[in-house]
This record gives sequence, structure tokens and C-alpha cells, in this order.
Amino acid sequence: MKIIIKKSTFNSKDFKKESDFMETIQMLKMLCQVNGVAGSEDRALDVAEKICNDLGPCKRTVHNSLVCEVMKGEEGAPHLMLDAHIDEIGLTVTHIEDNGFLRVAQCGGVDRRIVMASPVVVHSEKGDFPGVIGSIPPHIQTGEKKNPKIEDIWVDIGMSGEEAKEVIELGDKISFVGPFTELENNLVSSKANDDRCCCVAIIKAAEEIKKYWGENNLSPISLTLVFSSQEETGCLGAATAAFEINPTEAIAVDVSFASTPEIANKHFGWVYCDCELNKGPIINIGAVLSRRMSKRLAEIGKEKNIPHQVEVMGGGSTGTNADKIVSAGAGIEACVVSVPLRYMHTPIETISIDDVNNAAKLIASYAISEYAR
Amino acid sequence: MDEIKELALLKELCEIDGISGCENKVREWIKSHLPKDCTARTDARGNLICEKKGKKTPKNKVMFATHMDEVGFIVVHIEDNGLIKFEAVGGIDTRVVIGKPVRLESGKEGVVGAKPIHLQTKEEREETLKFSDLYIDIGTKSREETEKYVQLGDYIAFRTEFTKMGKYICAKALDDRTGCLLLLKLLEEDLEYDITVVFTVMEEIGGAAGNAAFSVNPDIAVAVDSTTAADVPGVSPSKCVSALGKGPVLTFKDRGSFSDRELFKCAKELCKEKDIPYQLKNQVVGATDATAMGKAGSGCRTISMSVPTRYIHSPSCVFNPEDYDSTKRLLFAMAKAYPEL
Repeated sequence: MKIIIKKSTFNSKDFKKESDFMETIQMLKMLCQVNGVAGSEDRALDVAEKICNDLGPCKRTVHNSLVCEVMKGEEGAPHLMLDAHIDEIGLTVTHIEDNGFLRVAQCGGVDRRIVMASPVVVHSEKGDFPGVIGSIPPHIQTGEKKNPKIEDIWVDIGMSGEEAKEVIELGDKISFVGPFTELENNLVSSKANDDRCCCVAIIKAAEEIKKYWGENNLSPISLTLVFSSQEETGCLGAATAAFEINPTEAIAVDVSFASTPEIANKHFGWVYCDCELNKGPIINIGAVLSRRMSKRLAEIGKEKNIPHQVEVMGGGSTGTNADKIVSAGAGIEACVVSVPLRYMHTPIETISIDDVNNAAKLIASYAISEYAR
Repeated sequence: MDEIKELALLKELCEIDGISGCENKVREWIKSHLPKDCTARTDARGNLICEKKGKKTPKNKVMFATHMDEVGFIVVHIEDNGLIKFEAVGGIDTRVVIGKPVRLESGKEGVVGAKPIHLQTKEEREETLKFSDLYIDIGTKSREETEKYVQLGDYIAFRTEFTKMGKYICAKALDDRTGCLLLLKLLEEDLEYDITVVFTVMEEIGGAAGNAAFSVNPDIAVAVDSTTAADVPGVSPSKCVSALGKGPVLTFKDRGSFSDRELFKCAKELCKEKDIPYQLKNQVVGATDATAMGKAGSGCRTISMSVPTRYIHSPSCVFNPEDYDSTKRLLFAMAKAYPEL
């Protein structure tokens, strides 16, 4: 899909910056607002594929990850894999009550504090059906108010049992409604910014890398993009795609915590939260990650004046696809670059467009500096 | 419900932000849609009082009231980091607020944030938050930046799209814009008797309908409102208050008042006579403008009639357009019967 760049008023000297911004925001909006609940990523993948068609041949893996071969080097050439997961958290239909209410289970870590009265969409083969999450009303509850358990909520779709059973099937996925909202300071809020904003980052990085190689007539390396499925439910898509692609190096691009008052400068055992929005992508350090790659990224960021932050993920895992990529096949050297995000796993996930662009820039600069020969 | 004439109007009405104490946009909209043959004035509190002549002068002066305001929030503080602290206006459960998009009075859009699930302790996942724990993020980094868009005392509304959901409608502010539309439609009728229709303010925070009733001085006052429908899983029918699709909810008693026995009996008879489905509110919960109207001046006889609504006082209220239709039929019948009762 061609990205239409809206005309707006800006100085010609800011042209590059402004159009870059517009391009990112438009691509992000298209990607965020389609459904891609873990296990049903097709629509989001379709959008990603349309965007990537200009970059290189695309195919789907067994577990429905999208793989785009941006550059193909000769046998023995370095092979860089950039991964961002395409799936988003959501719900799945487990039971249809006789009175039409849908009972649900979660796909990924749904925050029970935000579910009440949340608008949702049920996606079935027969179409998309708007609904709202209900739970026991306050006047019925006794004792202390608690956040509802997933087994206690339902989705109301305004249908009788018969009508619902006609159009909805068990296993149909339910996505949250979270409008794409532009906030101040180049921030945007939407559902599924985890991890669609990183899908945008790897696309933009790949564009820049490919362009650099073309302009400078360099001997090609292999560069593969992976839009992986089912990260939120255990990283199946990335684990299997990494095995199949078998790159020499991989960067998993995911979101991480941007400070808000409850978490700012606090230590949560496995992570210390001091990264902020608009201060650039986060270079992660963790036991399973490649220290060499993390260090190089930080050096290049400094050299090229790309704003960036560092976050250490303690313990043996990072909570990202990198955990599974490193152990694929005979093992893969990998690191994580994160886009800081506020309100993770809610319909109002908030990120900075500038951070997305800088993540792309940092990754592209890394590839150029490491491999351009 | 007529798709174009009524549903489209209801959509417009629900999309207006009119939190208690800030109903002016709703009032202006209603004024611009009033039929030409009725008079309208706004009283000191902000109530819109409309009089319409019928063919006959009634024995009893009848006043119908419905409220223009909706529940929402008000800005109480702007933090140095730019985040906005707020309080509820009207009864809102914090659990329906977290993670929701909102709109500030200036039109600026924001979101209600909280700590992500990944960093919550086991206890935090169960505990509900207080309004003092919540804040609105519009993307600003400092108080100065926020103050370009927000002042203390500004109102904040939910930002939910008006959505057709199966047979039902899901929207913010259905409580009580459905009532506003119903009474607007009543004013458009060719009436048998003179009536007074009042679009009231501040019902969600205690009400100003009493002042309107004092100046109108009716014999009978009817509150047209929305009430809880808890016809949902895990709630026994005896505790559901009301149910969607079963027609207007007649109240014999709520937390604010008793309905007048004769008016209550007459309403039930009208339903039976005209084959209008109706239901009785089966829990003593909530209150309407009837409370204040009954007490105004030397008092008047009152009754409450409500449209059943699920997930009331949330960003996603749900109602059945069939209930609008049956409530409308009963309302029109009342306008004929009560003046001569």
C-alpha cells in the first residue's frame, strides 16, 4: 500500500523531518487500527505485507509470521534479522451463553483493571461485531470492590443466544477498541502500539539500509524482516521463524516501559524504570542478549548523535522474542532495541513518533556501520 | 426507532459533552431543535423550561422533566510534569475509567493512564484504584504546556464512539440523552392538553429540577430518566433492577421518593390498554429528578419512568431502541391522561 503523505504547512528546510514524521504516523495508524490478536494476525499481516512489497519478496511461515527478504547476500555473507511482533493482546470466545453473552479467555496478558465497560470488536468469519465488556454491576457486589476476573466478565454484543451462535464461533478473537489519538509532543495513543510501532521501526530501518546499499553499490548482505505472530502468548512465531531464517545476528524490536509517576525511578526487581518518552529508543542489556551488539548500538548511537537510553533486564529473560530467538537452532546472537511506551497492554498505549524514527535510524546505522563494505 | 429522524438525532445528542454544571452545549442543541410553536426560557440554574399549548386547558398542570447532563470528570490539579489530576462528577466507578480515552472541555484529547500489568504486584491486580491515583495524559511535559489546553475546573468527558451493537446501541451519555430526545419528540406532537417540558441540569450531582418545579408549579411532575438494567450473567432476575427490551421501567419507590400511587396505577393501566410492554423497577436503587420536583414549593405528585440501560454511568452505556419506542408510546399516553386525572 502506498503511503499517502498529507500536505501540511512546514518550512522547506524541515521537509525531510516533517515528511518522515508524516510517513511514520500514517504507516503506524494503518497498522495499529487493524485486528491482529495473537493467533489471528492475518489482517495486520496483510497491511504489513502491502507496505513491505516494495522492499522485497514476502512469505508466511507455518505459524503465520510474515517474512520479508529485503536483501539477499551470497553464501557466507552476514545475515541480519530484524524482528517485531505483529500480534496484540486480546480475548477469545470460549462460550456463548443462551442469552447471547460471550464468555472469554485472554490472549496474552490482559490487564483486568481496564476491562470494565471497554468497547471491543468480535472478529468472526461472518464479520466484525462491536461489543462491550460487562461485569457484575456495583449494586450487586458485596464486600470490597475488586477487579473482575477474566472468568467473571462477558462480552455483550446486543444479540440473543440464537443470533450470536449464528455468527460467532468458539475461538473467534476479540480486539479492544483504542482510537488512534495524536497527543502533544509527537506522541500518539492507540491500541496495539505494542508492537506495531516497532513493526514501523523495522520497516523504516530496512528502507534506509536498502537505500544505502543501493546508493553505494555495496556487496549485499542478507537482511530479513520478521513480523512475528503469537509473541504475547509465548513467542512461537519468532522462535520458529528464527530457526528457518537462521541469521548470523538478530535484533528483536519491542516496546518497554516509559516512565509514569507510579513507576518512575523505581526498581521492580527485574527492571529499573527510568526510561522516558521522546528520549530515543532503548538499548537493552540482559543476560541472554549479546553484550557486543548492545555495546555497538550504544557506541553508534553516540557517534551518530541518535538519542538513546539504556535499560537492563535482570534475570534470565527479557520478556521479548529475543529469549526465543537466541535459543533457536544452534543459537543466534541477538539483542533487543525497545521503543519506550506508556500504559502497556491497555487500549491507550502511548509512544513517541520521534522514538520510532530514532529506533529505525539507530538500527540502520548499526547495520551500515557493521556491514557496509 | 426511526433510523434517520431519531437514531441520527440521538447520536448527535450523545456526542455532545455536557457534564453536570456544563450543559450549555446540550441546551443550545435542544433549543435549535425545538418546534416553533413552543416557548422556551432558561432559568437561573440553567434548566430549559418549554411550554406548549394543546387543544384544551388541563385540569392538572403536568410537567415532564429529563436531564441534559451526563456523568464525567472535572480537573482539580495540574502536576508539574504536565499530568492532569481529576475527580468524578456524578457516580462513576473508577474501574470503568482506567485505560479509557477522554476529551477535555477545550476539545483536547487525552487518555487515563495507570501502571502497566507487568509491573503490578499480585495485590495491585485485585485492588481497585481511587480517583486520586489516576491522571490524564495529553502528552505534555510541564504544567505550562498543559495549561495551554486545560484550566482548573475544566470538564472532561468520555470519548466513546456511538456504535450500533447488534440490536442495541452503545454510547456514552445515553443517560439521559434518550430522555431528551423523547421529550423533544413529545413537544413536536399535536397535543391534546397544554404541557410543560423541562430539560434539567445537574441531575447527576443532586439536581436543579426542584427550582424549575418551583417556578412551573405543576400538579403532576413526571421524571423521564434512564435506569440500570442488570439483566446480565450472574444476576438473578429479582435483582436485575430492569431488563432491556421489556419496555419503560415504572418506579414505585427509589432512593429518593415514592411515586404517587394514582399516577403509578394509571401508567400501568395505560400500558395494558394500549398493549405497551412495561416493567417495574425491582430494586430500590438510584433516584431521579422526581425527588426534587415533589418537594418544590408546596409539593406536587410525581412519578419516575425510565429507559432501561446497561452499564450506566460508564463510557459504554447500552440500550435497546425498542425500549425507546415503548417508552415514547407511554409518554404520549401520559400526556393525554394525566391532565384529566
